[in-house]
Amino acid sequence: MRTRINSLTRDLHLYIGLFLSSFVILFAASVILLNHPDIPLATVIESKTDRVNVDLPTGLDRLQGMERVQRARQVLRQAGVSGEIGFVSYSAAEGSISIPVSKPGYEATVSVKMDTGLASITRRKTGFWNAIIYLHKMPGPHLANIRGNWPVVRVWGWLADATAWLLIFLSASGVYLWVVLRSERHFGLMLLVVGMISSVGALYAICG
Amino acid sequence: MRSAVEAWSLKVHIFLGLYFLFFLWLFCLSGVVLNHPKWRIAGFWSERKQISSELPISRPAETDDFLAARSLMRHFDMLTLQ
Repeated sequence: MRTRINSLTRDLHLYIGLFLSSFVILFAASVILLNHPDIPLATVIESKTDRVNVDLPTGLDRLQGMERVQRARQVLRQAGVSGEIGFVSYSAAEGSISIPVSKPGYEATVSVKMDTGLASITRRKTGFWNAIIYLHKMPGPHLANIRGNWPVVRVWGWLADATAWLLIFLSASGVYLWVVLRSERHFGLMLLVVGMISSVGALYAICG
Repeated sequence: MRSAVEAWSLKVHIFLGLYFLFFLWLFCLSGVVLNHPKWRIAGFWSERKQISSELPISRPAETDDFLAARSLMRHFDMLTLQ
């Protein structure tokens, strides 16, 4: 019975680890870029602006939250733009509405004049490295009421969560295997304790 | 040669895994909380403790913004982590 549990744990540890490896590489590479903003990256590779006439859905200037995002999505379809919609802002003084849109390696801003329905679309390709930084930060803590309005970001959020929970499982199963296989007991235990003191100590020094 | 590399890899795998175990849990849990701002545990803003003070200052001699800010922080004893 015990051998079966050990064998199952080892298989899960191995296969889940292999499945997660590409996600871990993506998060590891992007966190280095986030921690070192001085690393030169092409932030805007290409930018162009188009103009097109759109039919404005009713209430776009008055609605808030997800309802406004859904109306803004109707404008984006007419403008041929897709992606995660950010904070939609309405300027009464200028009589225009601005819809920021993003997806990995791509940003766009659609500004629509309310009186004429003329939409000005600025598209920017931001490159591969900014794409992985974008994925690292998504869905994230901001704009909670509208975040995940693009299905890709919603699915990516599930994958990011799964990566975190499975990494916890992976590390716990690794500790289990280390205990039952009785390998590298003393030095391993010392490293475990030193690691715990380092992480708790760092946390206390920063937040305490 | 191959078995030596495998044995060495296994040791490195175990040692790095054990040392970084708690760092990994810290980043995994904080990542999940960041992705779920509607969770109660993530709702720090409404439960924050905020203290506002008005204190006299003397204009810092430094012309550089960063150094001036440092000087003010030193003045208010804010440089040490508390």
